[in-house]
Amino acid sequence: MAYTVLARKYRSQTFDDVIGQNPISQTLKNAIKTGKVAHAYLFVGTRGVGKTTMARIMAKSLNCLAGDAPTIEPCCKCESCVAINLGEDIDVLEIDGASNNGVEEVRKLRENAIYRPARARFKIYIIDEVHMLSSGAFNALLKILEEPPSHVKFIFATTEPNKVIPTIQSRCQRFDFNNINPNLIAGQLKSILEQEKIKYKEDLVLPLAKMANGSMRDGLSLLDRVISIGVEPLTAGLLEEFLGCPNSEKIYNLIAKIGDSDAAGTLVAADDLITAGLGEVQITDSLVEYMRDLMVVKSAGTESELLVLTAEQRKQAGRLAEKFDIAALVYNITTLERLRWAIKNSDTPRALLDASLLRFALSEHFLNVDELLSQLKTGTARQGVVPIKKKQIADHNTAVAPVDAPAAPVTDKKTDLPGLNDIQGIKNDWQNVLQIITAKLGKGTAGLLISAEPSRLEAGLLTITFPASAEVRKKMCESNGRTAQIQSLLSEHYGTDLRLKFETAVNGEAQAAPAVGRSKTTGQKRAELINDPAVKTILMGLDATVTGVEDDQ
Amino acid sequence: MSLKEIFCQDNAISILQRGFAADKMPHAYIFAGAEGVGKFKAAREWAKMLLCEKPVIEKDFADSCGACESCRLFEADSHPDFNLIYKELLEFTKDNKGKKTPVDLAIDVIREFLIEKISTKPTLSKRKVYVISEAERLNASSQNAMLKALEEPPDYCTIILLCTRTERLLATTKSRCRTIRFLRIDTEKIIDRLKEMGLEGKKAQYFAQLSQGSLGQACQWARLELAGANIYKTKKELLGSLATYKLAECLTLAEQLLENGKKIAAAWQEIESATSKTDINRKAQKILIQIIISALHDAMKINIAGPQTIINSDQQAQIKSIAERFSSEQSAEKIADAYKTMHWIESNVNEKLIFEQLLLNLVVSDIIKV
Repeated sequence: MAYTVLARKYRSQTFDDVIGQNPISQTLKNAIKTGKVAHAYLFVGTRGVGKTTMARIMAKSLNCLAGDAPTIEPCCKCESCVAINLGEDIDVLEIDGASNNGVEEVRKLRENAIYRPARARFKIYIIDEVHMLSSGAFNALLKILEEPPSHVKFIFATTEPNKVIPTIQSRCQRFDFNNINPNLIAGQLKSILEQEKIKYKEDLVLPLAKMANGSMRDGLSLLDRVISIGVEPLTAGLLEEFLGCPNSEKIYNLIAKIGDSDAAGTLVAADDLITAGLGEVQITDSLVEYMRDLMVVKSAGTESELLVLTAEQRKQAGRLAEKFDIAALVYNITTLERLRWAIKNSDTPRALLDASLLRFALSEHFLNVDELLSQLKTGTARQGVVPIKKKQIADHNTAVAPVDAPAAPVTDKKTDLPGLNDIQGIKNDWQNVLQIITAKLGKGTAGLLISAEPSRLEAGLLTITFPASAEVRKKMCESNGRTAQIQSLLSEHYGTDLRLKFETAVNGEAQAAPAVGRSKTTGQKRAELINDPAVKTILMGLDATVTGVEDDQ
Repeated sequence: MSLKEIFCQDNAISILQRGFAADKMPHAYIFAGAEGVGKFKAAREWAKMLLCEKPVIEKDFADSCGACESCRLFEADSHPDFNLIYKELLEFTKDNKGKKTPVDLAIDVIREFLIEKISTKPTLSKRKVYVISEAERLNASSQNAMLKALEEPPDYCTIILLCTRTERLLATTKSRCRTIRFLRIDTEKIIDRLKEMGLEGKKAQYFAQLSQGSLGQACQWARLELAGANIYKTKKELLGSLATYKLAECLTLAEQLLENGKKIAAAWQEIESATSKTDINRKAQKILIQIIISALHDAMKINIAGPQTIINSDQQAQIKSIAERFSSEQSAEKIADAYKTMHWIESNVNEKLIFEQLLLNLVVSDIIKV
């Protein structure tokens, strides 16, 4: 086949050509310059970051026949250099560790290593994919690796250093190759496109470089695929059409639907992606990627350098991010990651994907405490609204009170403690109390109580009612020990032991309804139940209160 | 058969063609796509074209001539330069004589049939083509062993990996190949094909929708159905009982399901005697679970997206009653659970327990209500 893929054609030939690995190139160059070349190197890094390339350059530099000594600029013309490039040099043995992974192969290598090189200075063993050697093979290497003959150099390359035993690692100089920055990949792609004289649009390069995921070879093979489409100029549209990479519009649409809690829309958007030929795993992957972007936008703003996006995409991400909060995004990302595994392992994962997306869309949005507080603050600013709410609650109370009154004697002991004002007194005093709370416990706690009203006082148990819309605030009052704080403050204020109970207006109504029909027997039953040791334990242990007793008939 | 006759994969074929026309063909492809969307057929025809002595080129569409020595040999499945590598080849390797039911594509197969042979020159044509089917079954060591061959094979070689799950391939493998994506096939077209096979309209529609765009899978089911496996009837009964069954009936229903699974497996065995028995059993059980999942999927969707999107459109009433049982969110949870059971089938869990667990799990929300 006449055509060589770009990744092979543009394999770097000198140290300076290797992209994104400057520290390593520099170190190796210095080692050669000062004549301090180690006898064994271990190159570690993900796929396509230049390990094999670097190993070959190293071999060329050491063995280049153009000069008398190892050079940092191999000529790439002499016999040795050319042969190394083709992988057929007699002195540079490129061994595939994965298929020659047995002890036998290593023994053969040991036998041959003692012979001097045929024409060049060194006999260089490049073992690629070295992690695949069996443990026997590794151990057989140890001795020769520690003290090889002076004409032998080893270069190992691997993607999985954890599989290379420590005794090998300690005998090598290890170099960790970085993933290549998308911008550097983009630069290289551009220069190759120019060398190949292929027309392209700017918007192609960045997404392509991003898809390469830090690997130059991935980037180049993607580019290869785009070029093989045969259309010029190359545009980003082609990526979506031919590489089957997700159409960003559609993914954004899906995320927007999830953000809007539009269940039907979510399913339609997902269906849209699947009919466009995307695999379920790809969809989860790109969702994770986009949600990650949104997360970055949320926490670092749209101009963050952590985002590899075009200006247009940044704006779009900014708009989308408003629909989510960080907690929800983090939750979604972790769920998607778990989902990925399940999807990978099933044959028809469509239903699973739909199910999870639906759960995202239907799940309640998380509320950030800070945001909640700022909402509350704006709530206090809008004084006009609050009094109306209060009035409504007051109405509730008047409706509830007479109903509760006949029931009260049954639940017994409605005797106001001496020295304690009655409920009306507390109501009148409430603004005062709030001010005290603001002073002692801070604005946050007081803000939670702003729309609440004391409604009943029974046997030292003060019930504070929240409007139905403020369920969350009620819960917040109950959490983090706030109840105890408020309770002690109130007790101090009124000079007697008060217990606190919070409820929302809806509950109050719901309770009121059965209360109408509540007979004496149920009242007694209630008292019995409350005195039951099991119930008591529950009430104590969970810090709970009995909100109602229902007959099981 | 020629390239033009490949069903509904115009996009994939045109990418291949463009590469050929521009003389920029990579040495290694991954054909990726769901099961039964025509990957193998496309690979075969593409190989035939590559090997053909005088490919016919019309309007940038290259195709095999069908007349030359190479094409004739190819049609007779005896072309010396076309090599199909599949996991059952293990039987013929040096060290594993007689081992007949491999689960993975073993490294021995790759070594003997790919790596060792790749350096021999083609005998008849100008090229050699290697097709590795079920590449998702390649285990890590096989893939690693292939890496060198994949990266820089001899000039005359083309390697095609057929893969339903590209995510199971190592990143190192993927980055060495050019991936060609095969799309799912339109449901309408599958229905047509199934009807041609002699399936009734309703059944055809159900299988087409259940297969989610995999023609091969739908055809497989259709063949089973025609062979008397009664999948459709089983499904109808199953959905009926899913809508109504009570906790007490769980175990009998599980028993029934198991029986049905065995029946399907028996019918399957008759069609495909070559495949191993356990494999078929598992596949049959998976069909049953798929049916349950599809019902739940529908129950989830019916309230949100409306009845036109559901798979079991012939049994809307049952789906509705399932939907009454579970809210959309609950169904979503149950689907996730059902997938877990699907996974257990692969990992040798007792079959009866699997079905019992699944059904109990589906009924359990009732217990809480009582």
